[in-house]
Amino acid sequence: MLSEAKLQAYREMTPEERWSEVEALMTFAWRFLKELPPEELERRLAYDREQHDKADEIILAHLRRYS
Amino acid sequence: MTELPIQQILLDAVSVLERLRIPYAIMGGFAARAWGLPRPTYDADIAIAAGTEELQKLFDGLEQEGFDIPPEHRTGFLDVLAGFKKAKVNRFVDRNVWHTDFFLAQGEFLNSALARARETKIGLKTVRVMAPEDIILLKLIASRRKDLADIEEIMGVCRDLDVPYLRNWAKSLGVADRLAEFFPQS
Repeated sequence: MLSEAKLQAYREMTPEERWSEVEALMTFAWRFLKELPPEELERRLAYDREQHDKADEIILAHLRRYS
Repeated sequence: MTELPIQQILLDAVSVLERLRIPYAIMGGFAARAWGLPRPTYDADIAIAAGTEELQKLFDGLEQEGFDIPPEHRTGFLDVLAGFKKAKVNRFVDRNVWHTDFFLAQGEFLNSALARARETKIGLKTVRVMAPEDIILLKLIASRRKDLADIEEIMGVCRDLDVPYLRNWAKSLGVADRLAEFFPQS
């Protein structure tokens, strides 16, 4: 978690400024991933997709029960 | 233009939805990033209000933009997860496949979340993103470690959360006890 001062600075940014922070970090991470061997990159993306799909299943099953 | 494949794919999908005037709200990782702190995300999730006819037009529009529509979607079959419907389309960039999930807004909660979506910027584009309260509620339902971290980050950044709204829906959705860990009752 950020320090309170950094958090406050982030809160005070415009949506454009905030997204440019998000995009800079995501770009950094993506450039790192792209340097990996293709099979390792695909393995990591596949793991992410799998975790994501599991979360979707939990959410949708829950919404059905409570709707 | 971004060098992030998933962001470009999300924005291209949104452009198709806007052209077809299909109500939508970005949810999932991109919404959590819009209201919380920077962290990588590789998920494109969008809630939409669409009937069969709009859905077929959406698939046509997406196909024109280079998305790959699973053949079963063309015959009317969607991924059905516990009664709620989800359409998953793909786009290949280099050698990687990226998914975009469309949740058909069914049920009171998703329809409420769709109606409350707010405009904000992702890259250079103004888009509709599910409000932070609705993202928190979905994260409470999923409740994985990363979801709970997302909630803390959204609470840290958004100081004007509608707590009564959160409490009402948390009760209806059966996650009031989970919400109370973040917002103790005074």
